[in-house]
Amino acid sequence: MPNSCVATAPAFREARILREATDENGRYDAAKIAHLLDWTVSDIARYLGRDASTISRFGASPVHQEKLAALASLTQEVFEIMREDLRATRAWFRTPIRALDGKSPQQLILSGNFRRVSSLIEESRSGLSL
Amino acid sequence: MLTGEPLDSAILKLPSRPRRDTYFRAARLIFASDPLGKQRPIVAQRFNLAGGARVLYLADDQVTALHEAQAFGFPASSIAIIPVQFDLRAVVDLRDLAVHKLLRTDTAELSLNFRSSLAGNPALTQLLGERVAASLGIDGLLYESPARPGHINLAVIEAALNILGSSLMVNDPNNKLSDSLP
Repeated sequence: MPNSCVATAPAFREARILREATDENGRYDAAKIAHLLDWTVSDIARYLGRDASTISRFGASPVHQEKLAALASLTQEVFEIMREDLRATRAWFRTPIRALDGKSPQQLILSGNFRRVSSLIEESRSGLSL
Repeated sequence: MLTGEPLDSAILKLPSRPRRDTYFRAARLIFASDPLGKQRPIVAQRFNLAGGARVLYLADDQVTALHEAQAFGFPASSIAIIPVQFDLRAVVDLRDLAVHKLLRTDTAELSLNFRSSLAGNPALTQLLGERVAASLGIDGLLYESPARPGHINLAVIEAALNILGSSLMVNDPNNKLSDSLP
């Protein structure tokens, strides 16, 4: 029995982010992810390369799902690193980070450099060295 | 910096020395039970490419290791600082001007943030590390800590450990940490 408790714990944590980031149809919703990260709708629209007014009306559109899922997945990983502290997770995204040349993850993501941020998270699994 | 065959030739001429000491590895606490990172994924780092050479990164003291970890911006996350004893046979000091001359490089080039190159070509330090690993004649690269000037980091080239008779060890029975390489 203890094993099954351990096995369900990560799934439960993941469910929390999924619940916060998706609509009733299970689609990632841009406005919900923006709220989760404390970003503006304009921020998330910039990430998606769309106009903010379009995002307000069609934020859960199938065309946005791939990019929104990638952002939700990254948020989930940072959330786990931050011991499930949403405040710390939000702060990490907006804090200038030396390993990212003093830019914040949010800045890089919004300027089209999502991969640099996700690579940093991958790197943290291998050791922490500049 | 040199590349290609000239780089390979220069690597064979680099001055190296044995070095034995205890340095420190910073890792997220969740991975501390694998103190030498045997199960770690090989992601791109300063002297290796993603999926490339296995290179273990150490810092000269606990504070330097902590500075390196803090550069990732995880203040709310628990970090383990693991003492690693090493006995290496052929360590090249990348701060040595004679080494710069042989490689036709300089401090600025060696200290560039390799992450800035992710979208494009591999960083020159990554090319250097990969060729050093392929040479099997060097088991460590010493370089200035980017996070804490005046202190040093050590990149251990794991591929050369067996051939050169070098070793690394973690022996911390109080915390149930014990492991060795090769």
